[in-house]
Amino acid sequence: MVEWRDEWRPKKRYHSYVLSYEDLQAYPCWYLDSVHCIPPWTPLFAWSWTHHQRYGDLWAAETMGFPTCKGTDWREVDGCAYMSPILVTDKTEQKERAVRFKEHLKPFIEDYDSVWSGVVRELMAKYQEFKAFDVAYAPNSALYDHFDSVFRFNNRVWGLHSWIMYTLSGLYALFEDICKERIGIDDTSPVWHKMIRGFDNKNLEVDRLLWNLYKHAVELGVDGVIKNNPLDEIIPALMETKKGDRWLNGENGFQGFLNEHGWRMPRMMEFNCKAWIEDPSPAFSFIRQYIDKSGQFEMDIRRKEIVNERKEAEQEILSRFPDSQREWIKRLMGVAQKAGIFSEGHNYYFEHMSHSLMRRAGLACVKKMVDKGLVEDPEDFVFLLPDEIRKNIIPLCLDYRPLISERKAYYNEYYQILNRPILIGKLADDHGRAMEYMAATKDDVMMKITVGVEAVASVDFKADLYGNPGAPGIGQGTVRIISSEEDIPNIKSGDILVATTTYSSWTPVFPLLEGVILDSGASLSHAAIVGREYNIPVVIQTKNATKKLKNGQKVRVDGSRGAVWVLSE
Amino acid sequence: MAGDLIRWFKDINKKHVQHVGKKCVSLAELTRAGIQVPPGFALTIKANERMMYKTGIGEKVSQYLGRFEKGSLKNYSDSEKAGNHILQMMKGIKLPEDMRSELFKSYEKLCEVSDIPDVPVSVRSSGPVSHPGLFDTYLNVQGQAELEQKVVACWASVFAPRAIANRAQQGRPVEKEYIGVVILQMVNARSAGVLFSVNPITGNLNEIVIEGSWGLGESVVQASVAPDRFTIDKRTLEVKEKIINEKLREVILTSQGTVVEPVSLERQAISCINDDEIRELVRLAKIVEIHYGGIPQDVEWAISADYTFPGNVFFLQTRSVVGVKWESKYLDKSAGKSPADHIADLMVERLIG
Repeated sequence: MVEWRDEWRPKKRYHSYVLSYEDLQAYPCWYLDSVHCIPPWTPLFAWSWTHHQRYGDLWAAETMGFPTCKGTDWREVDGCAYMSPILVTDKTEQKERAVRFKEHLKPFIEDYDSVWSGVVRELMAKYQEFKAFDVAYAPNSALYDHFDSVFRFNNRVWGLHSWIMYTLSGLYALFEDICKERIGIDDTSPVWHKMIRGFDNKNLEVDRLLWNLYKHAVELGVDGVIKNNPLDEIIPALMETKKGDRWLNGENGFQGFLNEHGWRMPRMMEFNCKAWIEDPSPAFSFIRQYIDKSGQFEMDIRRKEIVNERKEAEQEILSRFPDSQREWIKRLMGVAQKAGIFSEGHNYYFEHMSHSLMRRAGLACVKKMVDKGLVEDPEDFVFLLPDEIRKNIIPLCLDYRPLISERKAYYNEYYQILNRPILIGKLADDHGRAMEYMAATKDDVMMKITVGVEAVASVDFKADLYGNPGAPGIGQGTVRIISSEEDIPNIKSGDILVATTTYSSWTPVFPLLEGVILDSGASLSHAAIVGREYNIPVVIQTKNATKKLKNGQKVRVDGSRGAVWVLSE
Repeated sequence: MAGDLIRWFKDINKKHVQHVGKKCVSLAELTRAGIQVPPGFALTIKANERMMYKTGIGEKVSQYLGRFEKGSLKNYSDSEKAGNHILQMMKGIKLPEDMRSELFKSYEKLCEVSDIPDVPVSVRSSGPVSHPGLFDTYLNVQGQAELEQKVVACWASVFAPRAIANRAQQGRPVEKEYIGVVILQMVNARSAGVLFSVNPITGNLNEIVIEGSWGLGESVVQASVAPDRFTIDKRTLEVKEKIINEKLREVILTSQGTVVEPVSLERQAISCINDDEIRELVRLAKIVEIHYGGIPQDVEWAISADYTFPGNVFFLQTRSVVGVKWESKYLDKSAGKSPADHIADLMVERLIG
């Protein structure tokens, strides 16, 4: 029997996926998902993650028949998510699952583009339907249905998400294994980095549109208005002039951009911040940063060269395999390349869209309660659970103010606790065995995207900090440590971004950067992918760059060698 | 046309097998992979054909062999008779004038490069199909006259009795076989031997096996001494097994040619290469294997007595290992399957294989 330790025990058990005593006994270990839930989530988001994301994960692993793992189980401890893989260890069962798994893989290998466009069609059709629903004027019964559909659809979103992600990461890792064994390169090699870059994805498209909006503002002479007004007064100030109005509402205008691409959360994995479409301040911040930087869109400068380099790298890799093997190697390389495009571009269709629409639905329901004086602020919806919202949306008689103030106090308390135990359960004190257990899932999402592999410094470059190469090249600039999206507007052109990890909502700031240094990361992490596309050097897996480096230091980043030198304090 | 008759290694790549033969291409590819090989050049297969035609000897050989009944050359007695006769016919044949002057010009250039007048070279056959040991190799050839003579001898060796019999048995035309010839600066080898980038006995791909002895590689290749034998872990470079044999003889290079000498007593029972040299050989072999798409290689190497480490490490030849059953998790099983089928199988194997 494993007994509770103080730092393990949740302070409240407010839904059934809060870590329980039975969970502690039944699973060998629970692992903190520090990539997504530090700082801790609001109760509603934590609920959604342990329900929808959990469902999607298990659904995907079961549907595809992943041979070694039935997916990952999830529990909440005070706003943080803990995961535990459900291993399949029985050989016969593994073999049975493998039959299904093989059939599942084939369409991905034969024609991934069709698989992907099918998924995008399905998602976008649903989102269009949700967006078209008028939350302000709908009767409560329709609002109930809408809320229900939007939240339920999140199961499907996460299901498709894991379904593609597990498959592509696995194929990516297989290709890397083959290259490692046969031709001696891996995902830290420069030729590998060249091979997987030079592709567009949806998030980069948004960056480009933002850059075009900045250019358009300069052409119309309204860039001063954007630069010199407080963020929340920019729109009224623009509306005062004809040109400003044209920039906002004309062809290729800002409003059109927001309607289409503004379903975007400043913190991707949360409900408690306004989407761009509600408050475009983050978009204005990025445009302001572009005004300061000016010049050409960073990605265009070496784009052609990068694409050509990629084609050369593809040929280089292919040429090192025997003729008779090239057909399938080429096919596999093609799918491996898709892993990078998906890993970065998918957030647009999955997290950003669905979370901003869930937020919209939740806000609208709770707004009704605010109108009746049952809740103080619509933003308090993040302290209620879906059932509590459903229970009240038609009767509108339950006074939730005491419940909300209790949850809020609970949230404010746990939000301060950032130093969470990494492992909970039987194996908590045996890091090695816990990691072995996790590795037995053979889950490449962990290895290639979220967690990565520890860097081993093999050559002494007399550097101050070592990590793994994430994106090639050398850059020099000023250290800017970023701990949350709130720090993003402080970034200036020529900075080196230093962070534990980065998120897709930070992508538009990359054109300003000279380099990126991460504590964590792997070759399919956000910063590595975007860095490669923008031709910015990225060093990953430094473990403690955010602690060792200080804001304002001048550093040199070598993304080909995985090394960082401090040039001056 | 330049390069029609003679080519330097830097102007050769793997597309030129039909042009200069396998051994030349292997040396050229080693150079491209960044491995140090002795400087040298090649006489092309076409040069062989030209020589046979221009001198008229090709015609004569053809006529002579026409006397034999079809199939009779498969027999030892007839091929022996025919072979020895043709070798006699070809003795003393001179190269056509233009070919000779080009050969001598290239040889002079080699002397310049190595800064040795009448630099000693080896003259080796290089056929488009490899026939290890079938054709002649000459070591320590010095000066223009001897070079010309050995080149002709090398080309004549395709009519040695065993070579004629071999063609007859395989049903190929007996009256002609054209090969390239490699002219390679001799390495004054302190130690030499062979290296397999797969364990040739167990087929283990994670092990490299090196065999070596004192002096020129001839002693190991011809198995006249029991060589030292090292088994190395390919990934960690750790030497897992070291067998030091008693090496009684060595082949050494003298101004009079190669001679077999007894090994001095104090060197008989010590390792012919040190750990640094072992690691360097392994490192280079891994580069070569990667260069050849991960196909295990059988390498001839030499450590020169004239230079210091690591500039003293030379590769003389590499070819794909044959006759060893080695397993690749990835490449072997693709035959007869669609790409998707094969890849899906590999995924499954990777997870539960």
